[in-house]
Amino acid sequence: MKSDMITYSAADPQSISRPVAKTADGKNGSVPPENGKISSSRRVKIGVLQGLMRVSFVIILALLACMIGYIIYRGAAHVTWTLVSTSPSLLNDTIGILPNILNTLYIVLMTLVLVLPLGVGTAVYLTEYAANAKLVSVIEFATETLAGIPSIIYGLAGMLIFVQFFSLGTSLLAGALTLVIMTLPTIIRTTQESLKTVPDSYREGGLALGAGKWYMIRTVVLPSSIDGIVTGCILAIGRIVGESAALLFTAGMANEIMNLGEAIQPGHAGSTLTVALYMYAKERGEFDVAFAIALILLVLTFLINMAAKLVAKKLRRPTQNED
Amino acid sequence: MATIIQSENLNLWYGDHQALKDINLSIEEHQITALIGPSGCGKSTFMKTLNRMNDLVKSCRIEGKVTLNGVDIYKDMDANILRKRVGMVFQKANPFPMSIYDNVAYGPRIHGIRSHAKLDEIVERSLQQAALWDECKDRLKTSALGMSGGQQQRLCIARALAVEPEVLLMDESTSALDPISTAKIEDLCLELKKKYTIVMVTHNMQQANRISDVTAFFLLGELIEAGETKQIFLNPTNKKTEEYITGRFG
Amino acid sequence: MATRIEYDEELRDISSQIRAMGTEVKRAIDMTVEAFSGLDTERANQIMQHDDIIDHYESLIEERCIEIVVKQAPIASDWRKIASYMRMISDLERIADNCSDISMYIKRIAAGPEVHVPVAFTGMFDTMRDMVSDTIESFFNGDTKLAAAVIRNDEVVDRDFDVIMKEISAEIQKNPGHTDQFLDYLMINKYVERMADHSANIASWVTFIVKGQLRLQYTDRYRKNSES
Repeated sequence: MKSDMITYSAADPQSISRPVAKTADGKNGSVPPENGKISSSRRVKIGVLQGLMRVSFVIILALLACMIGYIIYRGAAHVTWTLVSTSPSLLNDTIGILPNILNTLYIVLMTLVLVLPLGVGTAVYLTEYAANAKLVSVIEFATETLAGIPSIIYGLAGMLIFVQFFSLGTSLLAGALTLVIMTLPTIIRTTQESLKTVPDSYREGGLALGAGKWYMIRTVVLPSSIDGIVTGCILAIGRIVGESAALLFTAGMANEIMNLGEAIQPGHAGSTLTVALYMYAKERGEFDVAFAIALILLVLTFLINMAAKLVAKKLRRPTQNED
Repeated sequence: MATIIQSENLNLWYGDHQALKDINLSIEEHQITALIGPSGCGKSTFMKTLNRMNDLVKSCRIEGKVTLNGVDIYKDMDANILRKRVGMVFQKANPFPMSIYDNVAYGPRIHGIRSHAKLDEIVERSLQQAALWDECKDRLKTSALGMSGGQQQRLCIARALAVEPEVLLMDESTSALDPISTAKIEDLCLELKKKYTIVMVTHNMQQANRISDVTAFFLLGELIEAGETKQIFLNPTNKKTEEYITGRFG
Repeated sequence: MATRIEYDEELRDISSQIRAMGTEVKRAIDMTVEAFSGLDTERANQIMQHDDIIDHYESLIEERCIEIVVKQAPIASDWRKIASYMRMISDLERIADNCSDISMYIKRIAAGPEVHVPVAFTGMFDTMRDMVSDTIESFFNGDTKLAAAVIRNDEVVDRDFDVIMKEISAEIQKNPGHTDQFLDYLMINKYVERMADHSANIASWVTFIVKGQLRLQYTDRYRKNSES
């Protein structure tokens, strides 16, 4: 950082002597004077800015440390094996979040399976095929708008459309479908950006060899943009895992263990970890459990990010020599 | 020498702007035909009509005929088949972000060749033809992006040759390269013309003079003069040709 | 839009220098004709000294042409000009050298007894002088018709050469005592014929510059000789 700052001093071998630009009143403008030294007022300004930057950096680190620290402090003790591997049992008077963990995984899976083909396909269409520029900008505008809608509205909409109108009932399926609409803009946008970074020369090269358009996209463009698509995936997963309001209305608060076959059917409600956190904290006052869940969620998020980065790296390696 | 490509009264518009005016030009087999002219004269546009890469531009409209071995390439031929028979090497080398092997094998794979043995053979043969085999044979699976500029361009040539085209179009393919890489590719062209036909767009008068058999001079969308290279560069018929090649304008 | 202005100026400059060189060559020939008809030793010495000026022109122009080839890589008419200039100045310089050679023989003849000068000499000298003058003018004006006329006149000079040679041969047989002088005249005969050849070469180069067609005199001469 320090070397990026321009500091002039008489002994500095890199101090440059330049002709002085005189302003109308005869004073120097913002050009350093001939002897290579900067004025003291300027030095103060630089110092203040540097200081402010350092302070911001420290504040952010501190905030992050405090938040994580507090959650660990309040939650670590309560992350027991019982908590993590069982479902709530009235008999034993224990609380277990296994069903929530499972539900979270199910919902992530279901959403991704639906949103990836839909999102990537739309992005490919918009970037590679769409002829009508007006239509494209309309779709893009719609996508951007969708991205900005508060999630509780999605919850409401999801409830009305999927839970009631399509009679799926409060279910993981309805939740997943709602999440599909919520994460679609993210997937479309990141995929589009990624596709746009693929140079046209690749497309021309492929076509000039006699490849059909879809073949070329499938074999050259998509593989080149895979890391961007994976990034979009991470962002989407992050949103899914963190989503509470929308799922509250659509997937419900049930705490039963299901297998995958049951999870994908209508009518099977289930709460995810985030919803469970809300539930235990707000409705049952079990703050210890809530913090434990918070810690688990943090760890989960961290692991997902790591995994996705590894996957992206691995996908890139056979194609690009980083030596 | 048989004519392999013929353009008849070829006119081309990008929207309202007419980029090619009544071009009648024959490309002879096993020769190097150089297309020269100032920027914007239509030489690259003309070359792109030969493999229908102009189709990619939405506002492009064509009148007239271009034939490959007598067959109308716009009316009676599928664009993808055409591009297999008429290959193209671009100004800036554009190898795919894949291994050297996969780059060269890309073309054959499009056209259905799956057998490892066959692909190995094609890759080796194409890299040999592009004078790249010895430099690459031990690192076929490494990324093509790790090669130098000159090597990448030769890789693109190998890639184009892998589908066994009849004609190779080279769009200022050496303009981004240093003199030694340029010289290597020029030597390559002289060797390749025995088996293929080459059409090249170039800004380099010396290059056109050195290696081409026929030179065609374009100006503002018109074909001003086309003839034996020796004659064009020693005693051109048209004054504008003379002015252009001696650098008096352009 | 004018480009390569300096290049064009350089080409024009060289062309002017060749004109100047041509003028000097014409002067040398005029002096030679004078010296020959009067067997003027004084004149002959002047001619030999004057040769230095022409040699100087040749090396100057040659250097400039080589520089252009290296710097500008000339093609088409630029190349035809430069290539022709370089050959032409060589021919011009040869013509001047031949004047000096003739002067040397004039001095020798002047020092000896008077002998009968073959009649055809006057005509041959005149034709040759006209050829040099015309060829230089054809270069000035890019006049290919004049150049073609010069090339045709070479045959006239060749015929005169044969006639004079026969005459001298006859004279030697008649007056063997004056053989040395007659042999000197024979040398002068040869030089005049060579000067005509060089003029015809220059005319060929002029045609090359203007039309792009090359017809070297050398090949014609050998073909003529083998046919006769």
